[in-house]
Amino acid sequence: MPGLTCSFAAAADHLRDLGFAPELVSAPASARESGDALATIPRGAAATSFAEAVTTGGVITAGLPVRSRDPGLIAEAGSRLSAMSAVVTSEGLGTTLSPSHTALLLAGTGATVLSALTCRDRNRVALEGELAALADIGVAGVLAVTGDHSSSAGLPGTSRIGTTTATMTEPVFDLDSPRLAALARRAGLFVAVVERPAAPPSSCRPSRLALKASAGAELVIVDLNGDLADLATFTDALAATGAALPVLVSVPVVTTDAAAVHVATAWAQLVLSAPGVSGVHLSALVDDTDPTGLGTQGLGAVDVLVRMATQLREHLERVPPPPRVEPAA
Amino acid sequence: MSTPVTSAPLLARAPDCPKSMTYGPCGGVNPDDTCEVAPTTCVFLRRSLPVPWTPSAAGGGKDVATRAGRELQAIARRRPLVLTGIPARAMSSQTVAPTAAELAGSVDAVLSGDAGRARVQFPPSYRAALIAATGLRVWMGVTSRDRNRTATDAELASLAALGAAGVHCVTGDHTRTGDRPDARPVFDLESTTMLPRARALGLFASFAESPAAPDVASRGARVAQKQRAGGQLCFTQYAGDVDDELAFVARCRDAGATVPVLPGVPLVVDREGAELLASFHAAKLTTGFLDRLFAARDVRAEGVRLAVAHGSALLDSGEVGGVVVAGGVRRGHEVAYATALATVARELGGGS
Repeated sequence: MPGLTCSFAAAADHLRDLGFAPELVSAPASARESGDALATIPRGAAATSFAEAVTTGGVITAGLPVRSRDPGLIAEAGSRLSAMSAVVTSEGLGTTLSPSHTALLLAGTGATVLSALTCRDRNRVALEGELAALADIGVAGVLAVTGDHSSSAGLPGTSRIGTTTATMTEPVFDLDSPRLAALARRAGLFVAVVERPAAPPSSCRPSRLALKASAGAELVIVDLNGDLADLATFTDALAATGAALPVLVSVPVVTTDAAAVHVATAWAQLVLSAPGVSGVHLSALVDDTDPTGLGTQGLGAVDVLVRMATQLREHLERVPPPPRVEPAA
Repeated sequence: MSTPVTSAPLLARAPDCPKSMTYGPCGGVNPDDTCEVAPTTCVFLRRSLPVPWTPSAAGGGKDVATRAGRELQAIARRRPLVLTGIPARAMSSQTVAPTAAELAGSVDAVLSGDAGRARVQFPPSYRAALIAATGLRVWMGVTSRDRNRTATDAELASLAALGAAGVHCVTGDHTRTGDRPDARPVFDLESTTMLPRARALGLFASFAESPAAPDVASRGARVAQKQRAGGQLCFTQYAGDVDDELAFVARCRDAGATVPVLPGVPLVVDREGAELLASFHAAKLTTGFLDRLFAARDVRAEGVRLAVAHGSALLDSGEVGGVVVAGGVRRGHEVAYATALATVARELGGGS
């Protein structure tokens, strides 16, 4: 929010001292008799096999690049992306089907699914219900995101003046990403989180990730915005926290530009060979303002991501990923 | 923050309403005019009622686009609609099919809604997918309590894509009622502002009204405003005896509301169900309902008999557009309760 200094940046020492306690997501006593809470659910088959893939390394995931409310189009995209290590959905862009419906469509095609859930749009009981549904559908896991404030998310009808207006979606933020991660683990789901290492206070990002890991996160998708040296600085700092999460590096791709795809593929190959990296996440840069809303561009983007993944897998056969360095006990 | 920001346009929202509503009063006003979650008088009772609905950019009244919705419209043209609840247990996909099997052929659609002791539920779209897979027409409840407009719009879009018969757009009880007061109350939308968004997606849209909650005199006019906002059916909270229900319908008509009114018909087959029903906030039951139930040797048979009698009297009046039969169920007895619902629905002409 413009004009507002982040309280956590202003008190960085406080951030290092934050801890995570499971009680933060336990239901109140009033719900004990009725059981009105997310139950503890055993880990499902899809979550288990995705966790194994992460341990093995050389993971290639893709963001679902389709912004459409057409179930047929979502299912077609899921079918084409089913060879990915996982398809990662996105949330809260205003033109999507519900998270559970999207997951149902994608999982029905045989795709491995990580469903994005943001804390911006739902309170905790709704989030608990979403997680129960995702576990019931049998997705591999969730991408637990705190979410952008409505005033900076660029949603249609939002303003940037720093407060909610009549036409702006109400930011909920009953929970945050660490607490959502803890709930998702209770539902037996694999939990991925995101982090931007360069966002201030950047020195605190590794310890913030360690906090998310203690809450239950098992993987971080890193929005790097830097080079291999920046990546090494970050993975080293992460390893030093003693709670090093496996890292997927997000690779943004302008799928409509062949030269840009070539550059992104070359970058992804470098990243896959970098120490401390478990894989890449291919993220198509889709024009959300596309007025047609038909998502035809989306299927085009899907095919570009599939071709990239095929090339990257061939690369991995020639140059196997480096062994993952386990954090010191 | 460097500069204080004043938000100019909005603030038709009542600042002191715990749900920050614009189009109150909601159904949670106690008989003594106090709020369901505060000891103070409902802020809307000091205002000129009803609050007139103001058209917004969002949404508009499209024709019903789902097949199930059109089928219900066709049924409604020849006879009153008969809807029931579906007593599947919260967050249990396995209890959907067996309860649906009992209801198939006896009901026109099932209403899946909210409960104070089950705030954590599968999201509306997933519940709709599970129920629609059984072949039943689903009328899905969506509350504004737990999701902001972004998440609500996604749920509504999925309900349209899944072919839901309709959507029941409710503001919802405050989180401080029920078993999860720890959850943050959202109320970005409310029933009246959700209705046009549902209609814009081609959904058949209903809303709730509580005839017995203050201000009783202006509740009919409030229905007229919700109709202007796009509402096509009005489901009422239990409001007492048949005469009370019909007096409410008359108030709606006097205020110019032409939407069909579908009163709730309570069905109770055991003591636990009765206790749950009595806990519904704005519920006012038929005179002597619980006494007669518990005096009966066969509570279940008496419950079915009372529901059929109440429903028949409503339908025979010719003033209502149908009924919604529902009530509380004892855990583990969901299928037997579905059988009772089916019996009542069939007696009232459902499924024909």
